Amino acid sequence: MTGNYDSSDDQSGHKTAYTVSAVADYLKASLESDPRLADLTVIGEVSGYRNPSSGHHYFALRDDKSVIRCVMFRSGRGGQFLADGSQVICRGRISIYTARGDLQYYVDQVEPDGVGALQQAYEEMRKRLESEGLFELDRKRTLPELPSRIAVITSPTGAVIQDIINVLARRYPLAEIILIPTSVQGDRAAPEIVLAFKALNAMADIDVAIVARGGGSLEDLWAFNEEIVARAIFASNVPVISAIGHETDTTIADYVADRRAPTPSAAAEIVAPDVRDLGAYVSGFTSRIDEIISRNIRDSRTQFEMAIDRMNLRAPDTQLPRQRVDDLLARARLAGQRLVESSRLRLETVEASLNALGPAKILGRGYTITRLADGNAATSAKQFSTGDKLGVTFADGSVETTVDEVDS
Amino acid sequence: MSYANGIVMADSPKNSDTKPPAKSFENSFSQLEEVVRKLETGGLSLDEATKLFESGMKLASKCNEILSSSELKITRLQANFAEQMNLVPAADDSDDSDDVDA
Repeated sequence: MTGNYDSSDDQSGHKTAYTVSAVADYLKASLESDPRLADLTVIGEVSGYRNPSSGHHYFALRDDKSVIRCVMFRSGRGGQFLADGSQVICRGRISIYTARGDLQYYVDQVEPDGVGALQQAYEEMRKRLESEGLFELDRKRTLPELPSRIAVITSPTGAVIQDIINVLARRYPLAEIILIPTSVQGDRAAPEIVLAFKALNAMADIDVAIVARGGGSLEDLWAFNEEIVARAIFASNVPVISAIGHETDTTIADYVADRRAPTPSAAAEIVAPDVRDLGAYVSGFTSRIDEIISRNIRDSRTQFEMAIDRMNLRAPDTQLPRQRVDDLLARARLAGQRLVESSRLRLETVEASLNALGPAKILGRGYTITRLADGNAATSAKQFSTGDKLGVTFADGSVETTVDEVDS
Repeated sequence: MSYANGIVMADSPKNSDTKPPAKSFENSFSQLEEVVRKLETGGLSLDEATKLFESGMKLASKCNEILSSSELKITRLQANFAEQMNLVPAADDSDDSDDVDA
């Protein structure tokens, strides 16, 4: 800032000539030092609305007497409520755009005027879509049990995608997440989400989709109340899980989705099972198999014993010496038992090879653990001297002995 | 963005030639289910039952192997996915933008 604003005269009595910039800067500083203008809420009607490709919003707010030029940058919230003729409540600050000397209202946030307006539009659309059958329970698709490829439509930055990734990495690392990045708030969000669903439908072998957004105000979540988003979810080729905002927020997207999750993390839990549960299923199957096969072997043995007994009872009293019959029966019994035993042996071999080679198994194969006098395992002959106590552990017990000679 | 250990990042779906392990788990798991079903139905010779037992145990160990060794894979579509997939016309940079007055 240049110039001395307090004095209007120089020493020679002439009026000081200020540069244009100095005046503009002075005005700007004066306006910006007024706390009432620094955070100002204004109600008015939108006119001359423009939204060029820069994403910024240019418009004017007017009432029957006055007009204020307004700008809301791309980062502002509620741009979707700006349209010529609409009545809005804006929040922002007054300043000067020094390049043109224009007084401007720099808006950060736009809300439709009247709490009722937004709610009413929402209710009307909800009823219309409902009557068209978009929320029908009959058309809700069941989710795949073991999804391979899970599309996630959400913002590529922030906590939501991170939460979903964390949950799936922990619970179900068997899948691939296909992240389709979109805006999730502001007036670009709805068209981007629609494109994301088009991309989803264009991709092969996606099993299920999650559309998610973290918590926010009704305005923040508004994209998920847009009709085009509802129709995009409805037209999805794969089942869709919605997770928009907090549990208490229900958007149109939630009504249309095949399944609604209270939070993004919950969506990640709903979309796939936990590998620990799958592991429990697998062990359930193996113990079931074990059980059936043991029963099979038991039954075979019993049947065999019963057959022998029947033969014994029914053995006709022939010329064959009784001893010969007994002989044959004994041999048959032996052969049968061998069959049963060889099956049992095969089973045990398979089981053993599948079991981890734990120390108990190794000991079973003839290895032993040699222990020092203090009970710790010995790893070298050098740890012993003649006369030391020495313990040997077998699979089924242990012996205590004394070292006679050390050769190392 | 930082990810936990054991997560594979890929730039585009083109790089994802390998199928996610969910598919092979599903295969082994449904075969295992079938083995259990056959065994439960009964009427098998001891030899048939033994063979089923062997294949069941092998399938179970394959399932467990997949469950314990898999890593989550993440593929992120490019921001301009809609243009790449011809869902919208490519953005025209020469567009007579009226966004000069910021």
